[in-house]
Amino acid sequence: MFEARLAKGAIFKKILEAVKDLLTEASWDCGDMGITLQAMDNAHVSLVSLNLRSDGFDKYRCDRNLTMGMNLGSMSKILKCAGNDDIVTIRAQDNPDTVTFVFESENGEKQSDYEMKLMSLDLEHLQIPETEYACVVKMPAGEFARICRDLSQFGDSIVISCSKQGVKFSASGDIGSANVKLAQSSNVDKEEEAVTIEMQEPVSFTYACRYLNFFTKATPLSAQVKLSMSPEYPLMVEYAIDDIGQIRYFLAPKIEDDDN
Amino acid sequence: MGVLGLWKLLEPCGKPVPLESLEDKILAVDVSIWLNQVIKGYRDGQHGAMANAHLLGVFHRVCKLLTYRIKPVFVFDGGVPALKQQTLSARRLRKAAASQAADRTSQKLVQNLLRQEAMRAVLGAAAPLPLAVAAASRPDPFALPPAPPAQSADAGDSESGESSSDSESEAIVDRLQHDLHSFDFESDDFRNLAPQVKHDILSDLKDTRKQNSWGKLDQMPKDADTFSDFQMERLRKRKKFQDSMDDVEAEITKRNTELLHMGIDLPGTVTAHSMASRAGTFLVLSHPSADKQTGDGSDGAGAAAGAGAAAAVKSEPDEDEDEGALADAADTMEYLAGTDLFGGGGSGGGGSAARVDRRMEELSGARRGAPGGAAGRGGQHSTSQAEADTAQVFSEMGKKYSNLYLKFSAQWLEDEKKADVKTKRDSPQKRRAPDPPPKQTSNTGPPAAAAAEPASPAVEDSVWDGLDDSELRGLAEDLAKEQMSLLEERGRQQRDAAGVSDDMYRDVQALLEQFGIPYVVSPKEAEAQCAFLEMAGLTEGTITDDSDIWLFGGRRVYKNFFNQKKFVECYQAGDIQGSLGLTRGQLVCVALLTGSDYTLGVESVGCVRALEILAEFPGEGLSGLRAFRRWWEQARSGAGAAARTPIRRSLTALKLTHGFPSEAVMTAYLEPEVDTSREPFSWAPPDPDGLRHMAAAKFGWGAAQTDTVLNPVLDRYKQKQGQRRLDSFFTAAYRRDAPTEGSKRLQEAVRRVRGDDPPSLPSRGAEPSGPEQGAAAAPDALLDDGLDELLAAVEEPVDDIGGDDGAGDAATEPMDEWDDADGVDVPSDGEAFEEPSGVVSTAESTELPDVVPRTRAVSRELSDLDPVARERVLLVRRLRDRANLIRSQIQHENPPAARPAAQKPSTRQVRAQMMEGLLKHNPRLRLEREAQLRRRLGLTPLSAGRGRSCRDPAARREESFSEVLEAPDRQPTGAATAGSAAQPSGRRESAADRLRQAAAAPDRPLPVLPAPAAAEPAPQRLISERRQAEARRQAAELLRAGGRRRGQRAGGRRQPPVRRAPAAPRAGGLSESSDSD
Repeated sequence: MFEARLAKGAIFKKILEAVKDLLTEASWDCGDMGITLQAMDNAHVSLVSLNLRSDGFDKYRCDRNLTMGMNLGSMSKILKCAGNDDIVTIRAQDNPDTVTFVFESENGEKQSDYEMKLMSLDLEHLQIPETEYACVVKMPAGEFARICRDLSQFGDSIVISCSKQGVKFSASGDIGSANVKLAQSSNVDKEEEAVTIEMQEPVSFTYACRYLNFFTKATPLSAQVKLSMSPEYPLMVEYAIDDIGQIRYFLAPKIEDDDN
Repeated sequence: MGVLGLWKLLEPCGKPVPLESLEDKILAVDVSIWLNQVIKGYRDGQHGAMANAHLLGVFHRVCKLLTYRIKPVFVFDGGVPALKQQTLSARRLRKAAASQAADRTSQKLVQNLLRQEAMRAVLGAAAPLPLAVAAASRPDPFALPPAPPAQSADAGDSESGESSSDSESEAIVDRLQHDLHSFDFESDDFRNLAPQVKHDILSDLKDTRKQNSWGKLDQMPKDADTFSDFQMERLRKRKKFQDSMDDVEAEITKRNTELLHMGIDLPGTVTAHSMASRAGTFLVLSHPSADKQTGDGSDGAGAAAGAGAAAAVKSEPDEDEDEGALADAADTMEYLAGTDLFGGGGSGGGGSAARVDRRMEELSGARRGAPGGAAGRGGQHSTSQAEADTAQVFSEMGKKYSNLYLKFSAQWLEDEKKADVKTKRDSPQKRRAPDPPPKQTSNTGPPAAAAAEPASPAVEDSVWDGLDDSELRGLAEDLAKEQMSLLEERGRQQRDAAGVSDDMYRDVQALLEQFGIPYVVSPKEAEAQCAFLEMAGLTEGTITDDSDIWLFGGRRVYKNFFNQKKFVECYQAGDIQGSLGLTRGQLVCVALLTGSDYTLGVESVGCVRALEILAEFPGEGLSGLRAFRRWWEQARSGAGAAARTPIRRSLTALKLTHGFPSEAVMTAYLEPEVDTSREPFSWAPPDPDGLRHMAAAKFGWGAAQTDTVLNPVLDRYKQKQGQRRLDSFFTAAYRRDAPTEGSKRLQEAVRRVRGDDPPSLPSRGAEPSGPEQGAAAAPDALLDDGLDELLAAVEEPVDDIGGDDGAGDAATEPMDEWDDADGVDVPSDGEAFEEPSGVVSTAESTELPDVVPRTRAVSRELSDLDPVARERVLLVRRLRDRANLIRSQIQHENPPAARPAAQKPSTRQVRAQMMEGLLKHNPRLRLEREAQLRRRLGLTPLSAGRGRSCRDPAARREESFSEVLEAPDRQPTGAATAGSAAQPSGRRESAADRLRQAAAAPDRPLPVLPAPAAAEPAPQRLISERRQAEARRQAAELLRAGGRRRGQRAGGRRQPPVRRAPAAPRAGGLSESSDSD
């Protein structure tokens, strides 16, 4: 028996919005520690790693470890049926063929449940080692989303360079080029609006706009976004999800071809 | 062609791969299989045999590869290895023999049928013909043997209608297909037709009414308002149609009753008619020659029958009268009626009339053929013998009308004549029966004799018979010739289709140069070269559909790359080993059993059976199969080794060929002849001009057409930036699920090959008597042995879980832990062996009486770890097997005689010795261990080294025990230097060196000679406590540096038991040793 109840059901709605464009289907692994999801996009360029800790739920029960393959499009449709203030409960049997979503309105007057068929997915699971990043930038999530959106009008890729002065986003293409520079915030009155940079060494990498724009779909989840970069390592874009966990995106950089 | 059934077996290991993820990968492409596919594929298409199909196919495929930014390396076949040639020719021989046998059988069958038929026809004309009826529904055989052109030209004058009937009738049929439904069945012409014909036409109409509903689309009224009128009109039409159909049917019934009144025995008029019409259709074909023959015959004989036959030749109205002569045969009444119409309708012209015309000719032909002598089926028989395929149909045709003929002839043939027919009919039969299949030449004799008969035209029958014989003989000969030439032609075509010529290779290579793609021509097999390139690190995989690649050592194979109907699947050798437990050597063994390009295999052994054999007779390389052969020979000779299990019983029924586990085949797969150059490949940008030029020259493409294909490739190539993939940063977690698909038998076999299941052998009590027995019995005994390791593993979590999680914890007390390792193992070891019950699963093992009191306390822990712990036991077993092998080698090198007998080796000595042996004899083991520990679970099977040798069980236990201790030795030391040493391979060496020094140290305080250890194993409990204490101390000294950091690498993951085993008894040992000191 698996049951997870979250009073802030809107979180699930936002999570689905944040992943459904990048992934068509994914396996939700439920265990003692909580719910995790890890999946790569079709081209194996980016990876989503979602972690929801069990203690973040209002009620969490997981008798046996479960892996539930779900079509995220279908799941998103179901979650769209939930109100923003609804309490969401996810329920499944031990060897489930289906998963049930129960939405209760705040006042408990309305309860709806939706059952969804599960899929048997044979997905590759990657091991992501914890690493020290050469450069970690924290900035307002909205700002990052805006920059990505703006710069993607100029070209397919964005160069993110990080130095002591600050972080620079640039793009160039047929119509011209664009640069956005952010300096470290001097005043940290509002933590959410601060730009902070922790840097061991300056870095500069090129990433595909397309994927960054997929990542910024998670903006509603968190006020701040954390960008971590290292040479020979993918970019990690992390959004914290309240007290319950975080969603991380990994993106492989683009490289200049030497041979042509 | 690869290994039979191997892909099916590997299927569960395949993972669908998005093509995008292959970007920038260097992949070898096996072109040999490609070109064959391409050529066949393009020939089978609408275009028929296409010029430059190979180039076009390669062109498209290269474009596909480049569009996905794959960096291909094309690999061509070189020569064919001798083994493969042998196998191919042997296979050909076998096939030929089989098909010959089949031919002979079908020949006999046909003859038998004919004889039966003749007998029945003569003895009782009314006898039913079940086979003939069945044959009536067979597909038309007439497409095969077209009429000999010379003869039809010859006969052209006398029977214009007939000679052109083939082409004409086709045209008519075509036309009818088109306007069958516009045909007016209320016209007078139609009404005047014979009821049977009308019925046929109407049935056709009815059958095809729904077929061409698309054609009616344009008949639909444009105006929506008139649609209902249109519908109504069609309804009315259909009603009329049905009415006329009913009328015709009524008419037929009426006629039939009339016929019945006339006392004619017609077994189901309609079927008889349809049969007759079929027979008639056939005769149309044979007519040209028949006509000619008849002409000759009529000259010589000039009999009444000749007149009838001559009448048949002419498609003139006066035929009616001639036919009329045959009117005695009451059945022809209807046809006559039809012929009447034909006379009128023929002049009237029109599609329907023409059709009727044709039909009438056929039908009357059938009539004629029947009485006129097609009944002389001797000629027919020779035809049937000439053509195995059509023989039956033909003979049954013959049967049908001969049967009818007999019925009619009953009216006007005297009994003697009948007898004549009978002898005539039977004699060629008898003469022909013993002949071998291709007997055209021998056939000519009897019919010639028969042909001589009609020279005296005294008896009508004999004249007819003679005519028929010679006529049909000629026909048969022509057909046979035709057949031969057709066969020849087809063979040539097939050869053409199958053979990839050198020119094609050159063309393709030129094309590749223009695309800027490197290619390699393998000395022998392309797959072997592909595998080598991958092993040499020059490529990152191979695109092929040939399962041979696995035997040559391919690691990563992309299948179905150019199959649009399927996903591209990626197969990895690691997955195959993990999921099926099959190593390359074992895959070769599978090939040896099932058959492949290099070997015919063992008859009636498929993949499942092969796996069962491998599971039953495990062993590295060919040793398993050799053991199998030895066992098989013994079992066959009935000596000793009885087949105890169902599997073994079924194995005795196999037939092993001489020299069965062929060393040569194994070598050919493991050490194929390849181009060993390690020069890296380079790619050049495609040459668009050259490609356009070539496309224009070879495919006749215009610039625009070429550009549509080529531009995406060029655009893609121009993109400067490459998108990297996450796969290059993160490693995929290991997957080792056993396949859940497939039969139970397969699953069982796989489980056993993987070694994660207690074997079904009942040999628990049996003493190993022979090597194969020992090998088979080993798992059981070893499972017993697994108990102590298991216990150790079970205990360990209690002591050490904290240490594992927090690195520092373990690092502070490595000495004590190690020190005690030996001490407690002794009692637990001994007790474990006294415990007779087999450990089948870890769950059971925890239920055993307390071997060490703590076991019970930990059992709860274990239940959590259950599957993992279970894995551990298995892993230990495997490691131990390997260690045993090495130990036996050590023993071999250091004979026991060289050592004082009284010396009991300490565990540590054994361990050190083992270590040395391991590193000395099996450097690969080191790498494997390394790889294994890196996997997430660290629990993958090491089926590579399953070599077991039969020894004294006690010795094995002792050894295996020490092996368990030995394994951790390597592990912690390896882990210890992990932080400091950058080179993973270097770590082990240093650890090994230390151990080696320890083992050989002359000034040890330990009162034990540094003699080779394993030769004289003694129960551990005999070792004095003091010695153990000494040993512990020394081990501690040696391993202090190493053991210290062992917690670090653990990283909180679950570890295999080998790493934990020594830790387990520590606490107990500590107290014990302090007591004794």
